[in-house]
Amino acid sequence: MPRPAVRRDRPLLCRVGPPAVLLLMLGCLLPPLPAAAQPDPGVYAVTGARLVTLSGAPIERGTIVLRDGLIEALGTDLEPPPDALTVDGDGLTVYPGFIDAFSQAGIVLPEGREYAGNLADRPASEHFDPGARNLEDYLKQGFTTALLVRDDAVFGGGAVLMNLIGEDVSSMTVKAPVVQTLGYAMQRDYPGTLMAVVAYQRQTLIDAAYQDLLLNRYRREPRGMVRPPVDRALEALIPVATGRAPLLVIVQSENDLKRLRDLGRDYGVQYWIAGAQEAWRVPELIRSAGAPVIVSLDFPPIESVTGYWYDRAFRHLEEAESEAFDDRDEAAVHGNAAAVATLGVPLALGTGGMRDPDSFLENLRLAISAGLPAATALDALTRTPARLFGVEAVLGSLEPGKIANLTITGGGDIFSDSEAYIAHVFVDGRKRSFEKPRPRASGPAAAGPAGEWDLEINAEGMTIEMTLTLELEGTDVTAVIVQEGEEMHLSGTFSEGELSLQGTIPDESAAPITLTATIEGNEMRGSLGVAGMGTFTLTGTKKPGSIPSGEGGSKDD
Amino acid sequence: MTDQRMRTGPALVLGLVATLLICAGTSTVRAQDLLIRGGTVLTVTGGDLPDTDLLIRAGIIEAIGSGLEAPPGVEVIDARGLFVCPGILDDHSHMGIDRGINEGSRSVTPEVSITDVIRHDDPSFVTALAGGVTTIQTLHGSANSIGGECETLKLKWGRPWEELVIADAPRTLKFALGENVRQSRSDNPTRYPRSRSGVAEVMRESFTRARNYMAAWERYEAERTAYERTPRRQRSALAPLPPRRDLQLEILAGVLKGEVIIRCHAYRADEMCMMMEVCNEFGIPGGVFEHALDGYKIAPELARNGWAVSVFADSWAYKIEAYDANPYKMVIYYEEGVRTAINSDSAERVRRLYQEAARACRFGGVPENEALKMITINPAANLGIDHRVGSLEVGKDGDVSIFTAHPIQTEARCEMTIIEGVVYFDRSQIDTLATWPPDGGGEGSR
Repeated sequence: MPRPAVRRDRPLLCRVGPPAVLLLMLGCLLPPLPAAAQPDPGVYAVTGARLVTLSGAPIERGTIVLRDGLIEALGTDLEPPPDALTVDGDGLTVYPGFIDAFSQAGIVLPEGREYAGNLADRPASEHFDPGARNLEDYLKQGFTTALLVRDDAVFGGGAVLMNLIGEDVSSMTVKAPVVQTLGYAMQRDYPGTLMAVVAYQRQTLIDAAYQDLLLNRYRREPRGMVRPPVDRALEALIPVATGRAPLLVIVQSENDLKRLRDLGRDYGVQYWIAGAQEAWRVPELIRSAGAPVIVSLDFPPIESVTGYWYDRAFRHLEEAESEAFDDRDEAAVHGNAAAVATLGVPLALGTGGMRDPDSFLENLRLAISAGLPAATALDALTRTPARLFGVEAVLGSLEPGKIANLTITGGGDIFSDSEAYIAHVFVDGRKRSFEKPRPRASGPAAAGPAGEWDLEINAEGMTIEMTLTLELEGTDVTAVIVQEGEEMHLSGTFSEGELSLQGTIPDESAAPITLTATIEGNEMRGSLGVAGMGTFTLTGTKKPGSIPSGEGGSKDD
Repeated sequence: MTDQRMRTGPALVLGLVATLLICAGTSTVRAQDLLIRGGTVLTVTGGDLPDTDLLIRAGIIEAIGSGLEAPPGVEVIDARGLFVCPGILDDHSHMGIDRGINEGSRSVTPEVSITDVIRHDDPSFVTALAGGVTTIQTLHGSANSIGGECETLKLKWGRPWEELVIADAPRTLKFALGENVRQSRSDNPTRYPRSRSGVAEVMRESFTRARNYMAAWERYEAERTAYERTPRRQRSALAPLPPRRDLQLEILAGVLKGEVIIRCHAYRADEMCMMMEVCNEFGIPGGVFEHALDGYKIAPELARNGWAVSVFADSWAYKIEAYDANPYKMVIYYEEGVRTAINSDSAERVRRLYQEAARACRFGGVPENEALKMITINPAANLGIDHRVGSLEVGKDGDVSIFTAHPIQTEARCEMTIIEGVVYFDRSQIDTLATWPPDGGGEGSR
């Protein structure tokens, strides 16, 4: 059973106290990597592939030529130009580049937590790092483009449509801003509770509309009137507050959706719905709102779904009955996108809220097996968001003159076959290729310490999750700890079941760090010590299917 | 004890509700018909009626009497040997609130509202139903001088949140006095006010701002009317500019107009005197003091100023400002004519509010029916919904709790809880109470 992605409420780095300091030391003090130098787009020809153009019928064995970042030509009787690098597309399928229509790809928020009440005058790309390590993970899920939306804010600023390979924000940006964004993220200062977030949303919309009134009056007749204050963030919301531009709103639960419905009704706000994990519970609301829905495939755990206790309160459930309820609820969660697809509103898909996009395609296949038609899913990743974001002239289908964003799959039908994978992506004509993933072991993880481990560090009652990758040579161990996408390298020994690793925090403090643990089978127990900060208990579990590196899968080409 | 028809109650109902929700999202309000036959009907306002039937049609009590016939298709509950009471009200609770009950970043936050964050599937509601409770007021915590708007809910487990809200209940606004507001127990106090006199100043300032706000709008409306009445060609100036709409001051203006009921957390008598004085200065009618632990010292003043109370039955001396509380306060309030409700403030105590009410009889000898009023008609009056709930009378909502004995007796146990003719709790249908609620319930559970 594939495990759906589980959302954590907020980044660990947002929390306070010594554990946060530990996290910062572990995770954040590595200097950001400079963006990898990107090869020029150049000229490519993908030959003999199935081309799903979405501008006409699919071409069963065709060639598509890319030049200088644009699609130059495609067809069946097409000779690759002499200056083209040829990619053998035999057995592969070429789609228009997938668009992650609600994403936090590459957004690296500053240390500590920034107050994010109204950021409307700022683009979401402000904290986008072209060299962010997690961008690779999005590319591996087939995404070439993402609509960046901050999810730590109330008014989160302008969403930015970004291509995911490039050197800098300005050249990677496809469109900015696409739409203003709104969320329900509680802040450290006011608004610090959900109810205050709602009040703050209302008052801010009132104030933006009032600012519009004052500015208009002041332009007409400044004399005799106190001049309006200059407030760029408020002024950026005037089109939204006066109903002239839509607002993308991040919602999850049934009651979030109702809060949004009421905000739209009471303040004349047009909206797009993003996230919408419980849209299936309120189909009439969605239908009558008629708003576009960007469904996140960040599946919530069923225990957190509204109404989980309705059938379970005061009941002694036999195991079979309990499982039947769980299955029903899980099917509803997986069936959310399918439910929205029947409502006659534009449907796009995204990863929003996922800490780690690795499970996107897996969750997409679950959504499809729960009833989402594959063709609708494809549209929801290409044409529909391109139209919604006003970029259908350049994205969303394979046509000459459009941006050379391609998602190329191998190993079967990406929408149904769990063996299928992303073989290549082209972003602005730049190619990135991926190995065929190793088959997932369904049985227990391979024994021994080498491989990937999920670690949980217990720091003063707070659990910090990280992954640890161990490589062995005899009794020598090299290790990488990854936490929140940041890496720290350690080395040491493993003998007679005892693991001992040392390293230093990679910042000016160079504080020594030690990890000692006992490994039994797929379990690890021990402690993590950071000089000057203390020692924290640690438990680890070997990831299923994790096998020692060096025995990895083969590249398919 | 109960007949077979009773046993087809809520499990089926809950199942149906869940199915409806899953299949159709929200659906229409279901109000049901029900005949409760042969119980001792404790009307609370019209005496105790042995061997009496109670008929609910379309969610409203249609008849109370003997020998009532069940119209065709109307379900009959055999309540012979049982006590049929009004659904119990808990007018001070923090259940069913999503993501935070105290907006502690500021001391004055009247613009925030519980209505916006109702968590209608809070499993604590089931616990409350098991204690015969049908209606709660759920409030902000007591961290702020002015915490925000509260909401009155019927515990219609399984229904969407809009159906829980009593739409015609008056608006209520939470205020607080004392240690919590001053952050006196905090190691790191961050905000004004830090003293009791500071709290008084915050109240006066807030009401003054609200009064000025009302005046500004009245001025604007007058100017606008005059402008609009002036023929177009004779208008010299531009149309008047409206004041900025301020959600904080809007609801405070409602308090000044007497449209919003003050619910004021208060332990100490001197602080209550301060609050009454401030309200009198601004012409604000008396509201309800929450807990009012040593308010018995000023019971005549409370009565004279038109304030009611909603108290813990006991909880004395558990912190400094609760030192002088004592369980005889209910009888003192009763004898001095201060309307008194007994509240739970807790997802645990809520399931035994009738035992809390019994303390009023035990300590000082409040008559049984008067003690019962403290968890029925009195909290209903505190909330301004006593025209609908709080007693069993023809024309009122069909909200009923059925007990094995008079609820003030120690052996009483709630068997069934009905809201607007729909059975939401039926003890014969439950498998286990031992492991419920799953998260331990309680105010701090989320």
